[in-house]
Amino acid sequence: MRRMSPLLWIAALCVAIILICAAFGETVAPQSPDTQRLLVGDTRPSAEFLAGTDNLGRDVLSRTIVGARTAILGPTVIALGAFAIATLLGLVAGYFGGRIDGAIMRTVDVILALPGPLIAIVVVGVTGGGYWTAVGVLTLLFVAPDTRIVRSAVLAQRSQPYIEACRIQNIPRHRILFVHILPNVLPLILSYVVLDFAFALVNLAGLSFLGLGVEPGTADWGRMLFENRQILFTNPASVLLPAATIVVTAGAINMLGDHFRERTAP
Amino acid sequence: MTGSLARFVLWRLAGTIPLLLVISFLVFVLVQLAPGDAASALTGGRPTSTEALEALRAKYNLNEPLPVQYGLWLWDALHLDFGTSIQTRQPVVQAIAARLGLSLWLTAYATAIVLAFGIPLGIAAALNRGGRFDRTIVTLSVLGVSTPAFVSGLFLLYYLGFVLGWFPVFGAGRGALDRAWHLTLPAIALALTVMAIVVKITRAAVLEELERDYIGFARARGVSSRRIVLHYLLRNALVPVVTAASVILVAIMAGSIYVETTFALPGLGSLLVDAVRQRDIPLIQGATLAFSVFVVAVNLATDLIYALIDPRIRFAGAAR
Amino acid sequence: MSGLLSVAGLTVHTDAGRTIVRGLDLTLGHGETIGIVGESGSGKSLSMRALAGLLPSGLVAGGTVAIDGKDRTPGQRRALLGDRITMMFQDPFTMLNPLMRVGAQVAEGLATPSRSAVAERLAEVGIPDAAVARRYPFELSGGLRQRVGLAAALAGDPDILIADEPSTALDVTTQAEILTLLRRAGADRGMGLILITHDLRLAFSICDRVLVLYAGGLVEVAPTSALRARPRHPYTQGLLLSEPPIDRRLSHLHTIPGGVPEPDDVAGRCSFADRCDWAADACRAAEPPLVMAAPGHGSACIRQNEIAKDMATRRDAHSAADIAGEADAPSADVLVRIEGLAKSFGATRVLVDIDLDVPRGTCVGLVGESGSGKTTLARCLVGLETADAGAIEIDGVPAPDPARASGADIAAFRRNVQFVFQDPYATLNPRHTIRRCLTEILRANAVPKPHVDRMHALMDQVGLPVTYLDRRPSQLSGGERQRVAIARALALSPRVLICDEPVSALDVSVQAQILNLLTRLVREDGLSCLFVTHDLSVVRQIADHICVLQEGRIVEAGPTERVMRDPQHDYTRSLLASVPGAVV
Repeated sequence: MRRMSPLLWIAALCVAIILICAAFGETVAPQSPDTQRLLVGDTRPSAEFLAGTDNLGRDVLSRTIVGARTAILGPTVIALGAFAIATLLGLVAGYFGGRIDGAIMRTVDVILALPGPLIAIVVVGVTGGGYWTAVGVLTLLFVAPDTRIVRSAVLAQRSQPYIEACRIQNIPRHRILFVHILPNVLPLILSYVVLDFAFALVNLAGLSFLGLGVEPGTADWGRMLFENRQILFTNPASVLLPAATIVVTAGAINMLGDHFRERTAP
Repeated sequence: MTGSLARFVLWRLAGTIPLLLVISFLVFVLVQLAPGDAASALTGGRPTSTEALEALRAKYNLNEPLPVQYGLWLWDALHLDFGTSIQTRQPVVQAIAARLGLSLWLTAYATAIVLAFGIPLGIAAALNRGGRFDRTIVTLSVLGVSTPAFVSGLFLLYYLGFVLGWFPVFGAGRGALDRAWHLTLPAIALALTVMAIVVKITRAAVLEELERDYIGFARARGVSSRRIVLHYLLRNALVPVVTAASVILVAIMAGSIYVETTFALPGLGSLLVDAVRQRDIPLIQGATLAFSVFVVAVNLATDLIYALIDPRIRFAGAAR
Repeated sequence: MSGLLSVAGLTVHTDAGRTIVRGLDLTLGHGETIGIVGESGSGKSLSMRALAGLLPSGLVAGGTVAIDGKDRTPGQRRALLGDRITMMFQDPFTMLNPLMRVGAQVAEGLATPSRSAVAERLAEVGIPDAAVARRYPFELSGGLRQRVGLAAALAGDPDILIADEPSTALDVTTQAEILTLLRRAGADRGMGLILITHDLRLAFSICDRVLVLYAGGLVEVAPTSALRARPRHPYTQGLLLSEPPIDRRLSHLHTIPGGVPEPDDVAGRCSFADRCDWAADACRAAEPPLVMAAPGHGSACIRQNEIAKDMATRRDAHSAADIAGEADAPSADVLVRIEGLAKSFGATRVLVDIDLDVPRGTCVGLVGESGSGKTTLARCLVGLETADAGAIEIDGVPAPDPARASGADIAAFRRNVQFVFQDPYATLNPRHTIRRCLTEILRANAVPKPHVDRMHALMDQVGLPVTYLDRRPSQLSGGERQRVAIARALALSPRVLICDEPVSALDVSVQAQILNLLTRLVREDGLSCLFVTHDLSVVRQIADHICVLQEGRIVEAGPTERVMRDPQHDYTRSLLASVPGAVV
């Protein structure tokens, strides 16, 4: 926390604001996000609707604020879930080596060879699944690169003398893995979790942008881009505001994640 | 020298075949994921008579056990027969072929922008480490990584296309020059995110190389800065960039899907999105396989370039 | 005398103001070779980088540097790189551009690069085969790479060559060859050579004059013969006496208590005062200047005249120090028996038919260069590697087969044999306190509680205060960490301790502390020990018996004294002959 530049503090502030919106969106928003005003239709920004309304007359600003929820929830599950699984797989593959390692890494290689976003689009689209299907698919896809990261961190520790000393002194394997190796790779893993979060956010929004993922009508940044694309030229704010919010949120998190990664890298 | 390279090439080629088989199987299995009966999925949910359903089942071999179905499908696929699109009743291969050119154009255009700007910027930033230029580049690249192609596409579309009117806002244009003009905004949108990644990777690679002893020793012997950058830094720093090429490529490919949708370009990506929305299984299978083969081919190409740059790889690979 | 290079008041600071080098003076003449000797933290490397204008960012140099009588700023010195002044680095494996053929790298410094010119330069450094020029660095051995590096450095025909620890990463035999090359190149070309090293004996072997650095400052400078015979600074003497002699075994090595301080911590007084046997109040009052006692011989000790006689007495006492008695004939009581051990990694045969015995209560030294297989052998003994063939028996118990034996058998066997690793900075879990580390081991091996007494006893045994139990490794010095590693190894009361180069990463004065500790453990506590090393002088001090390993085979074995004084095998002879300063 010490040597953070002003820019990083701004990033942290942005993240804090987004988190508040995600938790208390309805309270913070000036209007209700779902109220339709069909007679009003899409309008440009005004005093009452600071970012205008979309073609169903809904307040764009309020929808953007409430949209923080789907932008935070899903990526959190993806980032934490993928890394939880990856940590287990990476520990096992990295420490035990041999056939288990071969089996795990071969599977990982196959998944990595597949174009991830493409698979997500196809699977979510074909199954007709919604938000949580998308979250599930992305989690599974993220497990592959994360396992690679964890495994190489574990391999780096495994050959260290202090781990070999544990083996010589009859420390049981589970202790070596969880008491010795894991705590020493955890800081690195956590910094990657943050970066994964930003990446998941962008991917999830992308799926919504194509009309896949979240249910129609949900206040979601990607979905808003999908729905409001048609009125881009009449009320650009309805598109550009959620778009900008995606960039600011992902950017702030990436900045913080990079900062922590630099601090924890060997 | 060429002998070991040839052996390396063959070795890698052989390695891609199992991968392609797995991918093809996964693509094939997609049809099982659709809700409901496979046959009704193939009708696209339209009401059909039982005879027609039976005819469909026979045509798509749905009564056979799964492995047989896969084998038959694979056989057809190798002959470039992916069946017919449920929507357009057009052979899938035709549909893909019609769209492939544009997507390749777009991808190549974007890749050229990425490499032409990304690598030099990354190197320049590293050489200016800590300076104002470097800090600006670093901040911009973080923003770039956080700006997905569809977001940058929308911004570019609005400001440069609509407000300023410098570029057309949709369509692919006719004729080479017109096409290039139409594809510029999409290519830039596509390139921005990926360029940010390339800048990051290149900068990190160059910074790491700068710390190395052999750079210090070259300086200590009075080797000129110019020679150090060109012959020491560049070659060594490019190695991680080439390694990351597959990441770059997947990013460009995924981005192209979004960008084609944003700019209403009739490419392979928008074809796939439409197919997915309509649950047009044969088309989805064909398009997905086409994309995957492309990715595998490019990975192979980057491995080869890698071997050309770094002689250590060539020797290690051939010695096996 | 002067003429080529003249440095006055050279300082190096970090941007933040931390001192690294405090005021160094030196002169260098054509054809002269001088040595800059110091332990870690002395500033020897950075001061020479400052001289060449090659400081990394974040560091600032001060003082005046004159080449050929003209003052040069750091920028001007950098402009002279390659042409007048060049520097060579320590690690041959990272010094060359991995993606460029070695011939091209040598050619970079040549005024008229041509294939024959490159071949000529390679021949000069002892590479007669011109085909080497077409190779890439990774295809060459460390010794060859170092030679290529030297050729590349000499390509510009510099007047001053700075060689930073040019042989540390190499085997003893290659080391000797490189040093001879350096010396000859200097003499043939009338080039001034500055050799940076931590090894005094190495400096003595090829340098005309030696400068001794301590905590960022110059403490003594003298011609080699004078420095060797009559050091006038207590630190130099301490360093000299701590170096294990090659020609005889001492019962107790001289050590310098404590560790090297930060230059800023000892500003304004004699930097060595806290560790000096002759320190007086006056020593702590002001920074002592360098005073010339004899022509060319200066010492930064204000008491040098008073204590000269006392120092001489100490030196004489040390030379006559008890030579540890010859080891008794190998007893029949063998603790560790190895028969027919063999191990291959893929196609490479690392160990071939090894027969080795470690008698109870003795220390056996396993000597070899890199690639000899000595580390593999040590690791096989503790189960970190599994041999392909052969038998290992400890105290009559055969080593359990990891594929078939039960966990309990393996655990029991391991308790009898423990290991000390080479790198003190990676040998302990950085996140655990010492107490936690020891407790875990005791608990995992069902040692009955209370553990506290046992832990206190272990700390006493290795000479560390009990308060260290609650420290983490980052709060300990290299030597202290290695002591903890030994305490950890002793926690299960093993019969035999395997030590893999336990002192190679430590400074000479600290090295002596660890060697004395190990000797005491063997002599007084009845521990048996297998000591793996490449350093013959170290093994001379610690081992009762010696085995010499060459490319996976034992070529000679026997009592240390006998093998060292009267080697039978050619390889042993060449090893002994390569030791710097060896009496030929």
